[in-house]
Amino acid sequence: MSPHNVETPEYTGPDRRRSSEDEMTEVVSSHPSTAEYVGIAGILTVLTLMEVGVFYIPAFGTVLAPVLIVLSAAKMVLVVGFYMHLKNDANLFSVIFLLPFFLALFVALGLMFLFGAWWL
Amino acid sequence: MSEAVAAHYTSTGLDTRKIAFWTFIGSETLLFGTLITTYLLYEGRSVAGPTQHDILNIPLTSVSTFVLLMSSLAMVLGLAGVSEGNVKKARIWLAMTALLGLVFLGFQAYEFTHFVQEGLTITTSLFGSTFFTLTGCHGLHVAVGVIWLSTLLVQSFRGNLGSDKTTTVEIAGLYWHFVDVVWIVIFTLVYLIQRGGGA
Repeated sequence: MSPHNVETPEYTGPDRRRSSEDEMTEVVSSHPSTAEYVGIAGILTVLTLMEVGVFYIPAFGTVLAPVLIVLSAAKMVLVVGFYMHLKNDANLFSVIFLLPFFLALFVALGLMFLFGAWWL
Repeated sequence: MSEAVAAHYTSTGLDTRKIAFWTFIGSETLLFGTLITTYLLYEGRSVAGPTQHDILNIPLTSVSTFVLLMSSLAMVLGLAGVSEGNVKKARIWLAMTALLGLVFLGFQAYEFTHFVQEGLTITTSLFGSTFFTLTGCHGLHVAVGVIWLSTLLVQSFRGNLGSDKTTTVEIAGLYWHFVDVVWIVIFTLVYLIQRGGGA
């Protein structure tokens, strides 16, 4: 008997595995439509124009950095949530991504504070 | 095929390839977090010019940022084409994604060349070292993404990019969008929020 023909023990627990067809159906149905994708791209374009616009407006002065960070964060959320499908995907993926993200953010803020670059 | 596909699942019911790739993205987040933090820590502490105030070209970089954002739109449309089994749509949008990635790299090559002509190299100053390391590392990731997309295009012409490869293309898309997200942060923190007087 070829090793490839060895039968694997039958899985008797809750069947959490899905067929490729089930997966594809789920993937397609949980993803935004083309119109939504184009709409998100439009919002991203507007946010980018706003970022560049406020950069050239002297009146923003001291609030420039916070405004730009908020606009940038909004763009990040849109791309990660809709284009990377994290909004509708399993929560485990969100955990796997957000834990290192917040760790990196915490370390960055801590180092900037320690090295006297705390100006944001 | 069912045996091979089932082998990708864990007790979580999730595809192991996607779990592995999100873990990779998490590690990449830490890598870019380190590079961005290093840039910010040394920003404005260069003792030799030119500084970011002298040399960064905001209009040019705004256009390249727009190009990369639109490449993300092309990527999701390419993925939609694959999941629908529409090979022509998938090819067009995956090719568009790779093309926009190349355009972005062209902008970056122009920017780097201009900076070197202006006297800023990776050894000139703290700004030069941290700027070229950060944006160069990002550019390298874009280049890898373009190569990856090119391999998917080759697969499609060989007839190997049917709707059963949706997850494969989705994972390539995750990489591409992550590279886009990193640029969103770099564009804001490096180009638009310029601190320190420099030399």
